[in-house]
Amino acid sequence: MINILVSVKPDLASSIAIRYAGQLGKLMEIGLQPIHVKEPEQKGNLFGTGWVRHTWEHVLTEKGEEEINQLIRAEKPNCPALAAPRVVLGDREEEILRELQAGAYDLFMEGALASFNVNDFRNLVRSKLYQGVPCPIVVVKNLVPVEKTSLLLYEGMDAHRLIEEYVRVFKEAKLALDLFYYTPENLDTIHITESDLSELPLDSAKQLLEEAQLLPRSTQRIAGPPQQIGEYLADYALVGAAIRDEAGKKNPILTVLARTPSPVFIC
Amino acid sequence: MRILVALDTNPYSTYVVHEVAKLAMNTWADVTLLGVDSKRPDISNHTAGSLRNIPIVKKMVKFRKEFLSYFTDKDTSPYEKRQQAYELVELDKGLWEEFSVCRSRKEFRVRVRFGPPAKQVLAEAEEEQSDLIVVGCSKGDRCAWEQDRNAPEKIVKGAPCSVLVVKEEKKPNKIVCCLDHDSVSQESLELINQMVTLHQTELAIVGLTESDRLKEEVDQKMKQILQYYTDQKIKAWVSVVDVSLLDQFIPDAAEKGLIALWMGPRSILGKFFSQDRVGRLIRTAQSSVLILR
Repeated sequence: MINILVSVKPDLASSIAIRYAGQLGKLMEIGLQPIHVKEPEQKGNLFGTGWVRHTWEHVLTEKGEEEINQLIRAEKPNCPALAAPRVVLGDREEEILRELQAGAYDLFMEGALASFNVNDFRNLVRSKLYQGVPCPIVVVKNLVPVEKTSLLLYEGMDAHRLIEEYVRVFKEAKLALDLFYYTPENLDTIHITESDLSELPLDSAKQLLEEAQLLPRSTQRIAGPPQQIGEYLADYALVGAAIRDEAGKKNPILTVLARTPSPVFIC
Repeated sequence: MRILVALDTNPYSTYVVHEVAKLAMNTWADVTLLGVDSKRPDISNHTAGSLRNIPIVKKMVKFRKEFLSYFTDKDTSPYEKRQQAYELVELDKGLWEEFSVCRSRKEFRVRVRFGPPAKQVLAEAEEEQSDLIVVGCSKGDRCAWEQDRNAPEKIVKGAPCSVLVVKEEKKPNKIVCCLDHDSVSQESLELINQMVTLHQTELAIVGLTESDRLKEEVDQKMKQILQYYTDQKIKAWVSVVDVSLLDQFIPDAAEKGLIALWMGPRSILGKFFSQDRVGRLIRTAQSSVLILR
């Protein structure tokens, strides 16, 4: 069973993330633990001390529970694996990291609507939370039918790590997989050429795919403007890349992932 | 739904007639084809027969035939005259006459107005209480009318109802709907539905954020709209754009598809996407634009 921690708020993005997880749950065994962190409106020192503070925290947590329970009740039919929500008060990133480190989670998931501003996605990947998460992450931007997936490789990327994580999480689902090898050429339009798995510098990663019987149905080299590539990948239920270590750099793959409206798998 | 189609004698108007006919096939709307010519004919020199030689009048006859050619099956056509009845018509003060009148299930009218194009179209829309005005414009970098370059822009700005500005021969591959408020009419949702079906295209719902914050009511409305289209088996992509990036986003989106702006009374589009910006969009759009009210 794949244990997923999903961060939720009472909003559209969270609803999409839960429904997406519900689709995954039809293809593989999952456990889905929602977490909602109620952040105090006043940052910094928390209000009051002793009994006063305790009561205030209790009221805030109850309010958060109310909001989230409504969402969970509405989405439960779409995702039977959805457990009772965990509602905590505090700093969102710290609390989620604490939960991820304490629990045996295989995947962290959250909904984040696709944004026209590429920096929104860059900032997300650079955040303390994403840099500290001890497992792969799925950012669900849209509800795409879970049928086919893609992994985006590029020179210098840790392909072994990406494929290892992909296989570990999605092995049971046996989703159709397309591999894209990105080359940063200065082109005006997108350019795709069929390639052979043996031609790509995958080394040991190839063996992982073979062992898991997840051989890609196609292998292609892809070049062109990152925005167009992102849009081209729109029909995939998942676009994966090992990008977390690249968050601080000007890597065009980050723009591709920012521009694709599909759910993104990052490690 | 009452559709008013503003037409002149240029090729973009021919294109619009065909597009509206396809839309009418799906919606069974009441349709008025309105021919507009800025030059008023000298009525004293014209009989009804000689009026038929005026270019816009001749063109309207052609447009009528082209429109109705989409509804050849007399049994199913909503515009086929079928219900004959006698109606009293006042001929003069105190003088009434009974006329034999044929009506169709849906109204289809052909009218001609002379005078400033935008003013005439807006007057007709007001009098007929149209729900949607459809107006064509030239292809290329500018969206213009021959007799009044800025007529499409003036119509959009002055119309009390939704306006579809159809770019000549530009088939959208995506319909991008921008939303910044929670009062979205059912009619506008259905119109988008019809446009998606008509063009067999993708739909994108874009929420406008301010300082990276999507208002709770907009978030909830987007959720409802997404559910509505999911129930209609229409795939809709959702995304957000900060109002500070609107000037970059709109031309980018308009390049790929038909852009639809929900401009209700509470819309910040009205605030942030000012009349000047709307005007610029209409003038320079690379594709069709739909203003929803």
